[in-house]
Amino acid sequence: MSTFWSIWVSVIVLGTVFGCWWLLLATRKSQTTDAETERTTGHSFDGIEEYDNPLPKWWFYLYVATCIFALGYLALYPGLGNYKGLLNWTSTNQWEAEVAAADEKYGEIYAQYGQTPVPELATNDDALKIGQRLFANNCSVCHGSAARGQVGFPNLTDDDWLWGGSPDAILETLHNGRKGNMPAKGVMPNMTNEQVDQVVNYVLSFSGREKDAAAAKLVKPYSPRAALPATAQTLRACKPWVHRI
Amino acid sequence: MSTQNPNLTYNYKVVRQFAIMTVVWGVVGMALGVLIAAQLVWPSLNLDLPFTHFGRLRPLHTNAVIFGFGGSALFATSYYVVQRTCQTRLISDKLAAFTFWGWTAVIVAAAITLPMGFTSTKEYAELEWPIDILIAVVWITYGVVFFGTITKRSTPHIYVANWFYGGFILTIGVLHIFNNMALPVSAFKSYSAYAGVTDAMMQWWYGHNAVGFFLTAGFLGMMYYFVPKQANRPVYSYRLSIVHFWALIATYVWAGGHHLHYSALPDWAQTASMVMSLILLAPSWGGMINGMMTLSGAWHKLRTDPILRFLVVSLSFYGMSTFEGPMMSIKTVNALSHNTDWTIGHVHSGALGWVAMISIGAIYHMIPKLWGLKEMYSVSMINVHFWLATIGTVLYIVAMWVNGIMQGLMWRAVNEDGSLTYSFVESLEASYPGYFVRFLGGVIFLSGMLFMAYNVYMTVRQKEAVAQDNAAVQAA
Repeated sequence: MSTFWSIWVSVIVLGTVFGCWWLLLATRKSQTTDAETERTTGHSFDGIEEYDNPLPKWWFYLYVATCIFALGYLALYPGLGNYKGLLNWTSTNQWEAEVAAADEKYGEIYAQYGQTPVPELATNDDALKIGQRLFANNCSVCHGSAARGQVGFPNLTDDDWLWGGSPDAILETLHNGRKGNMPAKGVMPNMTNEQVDQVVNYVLSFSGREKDAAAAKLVKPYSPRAALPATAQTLRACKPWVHRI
Repeated sequence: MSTQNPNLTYNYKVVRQFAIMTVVWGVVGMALGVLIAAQLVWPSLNLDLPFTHFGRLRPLHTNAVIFGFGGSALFATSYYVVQRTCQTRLISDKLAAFTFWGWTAVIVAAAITLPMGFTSTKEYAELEWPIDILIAVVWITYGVVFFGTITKRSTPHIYVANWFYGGFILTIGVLHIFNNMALPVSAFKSYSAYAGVTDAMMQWWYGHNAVGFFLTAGFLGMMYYFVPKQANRPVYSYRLSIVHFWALIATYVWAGGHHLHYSALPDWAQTASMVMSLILLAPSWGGMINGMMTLSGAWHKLRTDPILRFLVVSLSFYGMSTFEGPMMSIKTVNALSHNTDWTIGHVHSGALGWVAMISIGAIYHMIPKLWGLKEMYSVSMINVHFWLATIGTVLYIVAMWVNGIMQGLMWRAVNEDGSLTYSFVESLEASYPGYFVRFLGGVIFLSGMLFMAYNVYMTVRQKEAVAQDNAAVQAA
C-alpha cells in the first residue's frame, strides 16, 4: 500500500485506541466521588433518573488492560499500515514454518514409502491405513466412501481402467490428473442428427442464443433415473464412462 | 412528571402494530429455525423439494428472526421510548405508518423470494436489489421519524436509550446501502459492486455490524429504558453510559475483519480487527454492568416479577457472549472455532439469550400499557415462558459448544504419520447427538414463544382492553 494509505490506516487505528483511552480517562477525571452515591444527574426521562456513580474500578482497569494489550500487539504484529511488526510475523511465513516443521517430522516416513515399490506397499498395513485416510478425506467426495464411483466418476473397485491400472499409470493419474474426453453423443450414441440439433438449440437457449426455440423445447433435461430403463442398453455400451447408475 | 402536558398524546398505533408483528415473526422465524435444526438431524425433512431445502430456508430463518422479529421489536420499542422520554409525539403518523407497512412488506417479500431461490448470496443481506431499495427507503424514513421526533422533544436532554437507538439507525443505514451496492442484470439478479477480498471485507464489515449495531446497540437502547422502568430504579451510572456508548460505537465498526482470519485479507486488516474486537470487551460489559447494577437494591423484585427476570437473564447472556466474542476473535482461538458449530452457538447465545429475551421482556412490559391494561392476561404464563426460554437457550448453547470444540479438535487431529485422523464425515457423524439436543433446545424455546403468542392474544382481546393514546393516562 502507498505511504499515504499506510499513514491513513495507522492514524485511524491508533486514533481509535487512544481516543477510547482518552474518553475513559477524561470521564474518570471528572468523577466527583470514588464511592457509590445516591446523587443523581438531576435529569428525569419518563420517570427514569440516572445516578452519578463512578466508573467501577475493576472495569476501568479491565479497559486499560485491553488497550495496553492492543498497543503491545500492534507493536509486535503487522497492523499499522506497512509497518511489519517487531516479530516480522506474516500469515504466509507462519504457514511456511508449519509446512517446514511437518516436512521435517513426517518427511522421513514418506521418503521411506516413496522408495518402496507399490505392490510391496499394498501388503504393508501401516501404509494401507495412511492410504485409507487420505482416500477418505480427498477422494471419497467424488468416488464414494466405498470407491464404487457414481455418474461421471469411475468405479475404482472393478477391473476396468480408463487410463491403465498398472502402479505407474495410477501414480501418473494421481500426480498429474487426466484430461477426460466426452465420448461422441455422450450417453446416447444412437441420437439422430435431428436430435443433436435439438440439443444444440436447447443448450444455446440457456444464454438466450437459440436459433430454433421450438426445437430447444423438444429436449427434456437429462435425468439419470428417468433415463434408466430406456437407455440401459446404451449405458452399458459406454461402460467405462458410466459405471454405476 | 409535573411538567407534563395533559393534552399530549402519543402515537401508540404504530407501536402496537410493530409489537404484534414482533410476536408473529418471532413464532414464524423460530419455527423455521426448529425445522432446519430438525433437517440436520433427519435430512429427509428437506422433502427433496428446492423450496424446503436447508440452503433456502436457513437464510429465511435468519431474515425472519433478525429483521422480522428483532427489527419489529426495535421499531416498536424505539417509537415507544423516543416518545415517552422526549415527552412528544412522533413527528409524522403517516411516515411512521409507512415504516410499518414498508418493513412488513420487506419481510413478506423475503418469505416469498428466499424459498424461490432469489439471493444475492451475502449472509444476512441475501435479499435481492429491488427489496434492498425498499429497505433503504423504509430505513431513511425511520431515521427521519426518529431524529425528527428527537429534535422537537420537550425535555432538555436526550436520554441514553435514544443515543443507542440513534447510533443503530444511522449505522445500519450506511452499512445496508454500502454493502448492497450491486449491478442488477434482471429483476431478481444482481452482482456485487465489489470484487474478491474487497467484497468479503465489505460483507463482514456489514455482517459483524448487523450484530454490533442491529443486535447490540439497538437492543442496548431497549435495555436502557425497560430495565430501569421495570425495576423502578435509577440507571446505575450516567458516566459509565457515556464511556461505553462512544467506545462501543467507535470499536464495533472495526471488528468485521475477524471473520476473515487466515484468509486473503491483508494481515494488517486482520490484526486491526482482532485488537479492536478485544478492546470491545470493556465497552460491551459497560452496558451489562449498567443494567445489572441498576437492580441493586431491587433484587428482591426478581422473586415476583418474571418480566424483570427476562431482562436480567438477557443481560447475563449478553455479558457471556460479549466475553466469548473477543476470545473467539483471537487468531489462535479462531483457528479452532472457525467453521465449527461453536460459531453458531455463540450467535445463538446472543440471539436467544440476549436479543430475544430482552425483546420478550420489553414486549411483556409494553403490551398492557399500549392497550390501557394493568398487566398481562396471565403473569404465571410469563413465568412458564421464562423457564422454557432459559432452558431452551442453555441446551442450544451447550450442544453447540460441545459440537464445535469436538469438530475443531477432530479436524486438526493428525496421526503419527501426519495424515488426518478423521475424515469430515466422521466429524459429522459425531455431531448428531449435539444436533438433536440443539433441536430439542429450539423446540423448548419455540414452545415458550407459543405461550407468549397466546398470552398476548388473550390480553389484547379482553373486552375492557381499550387502546389508549393519552400520555396523561399512561404516566404511571
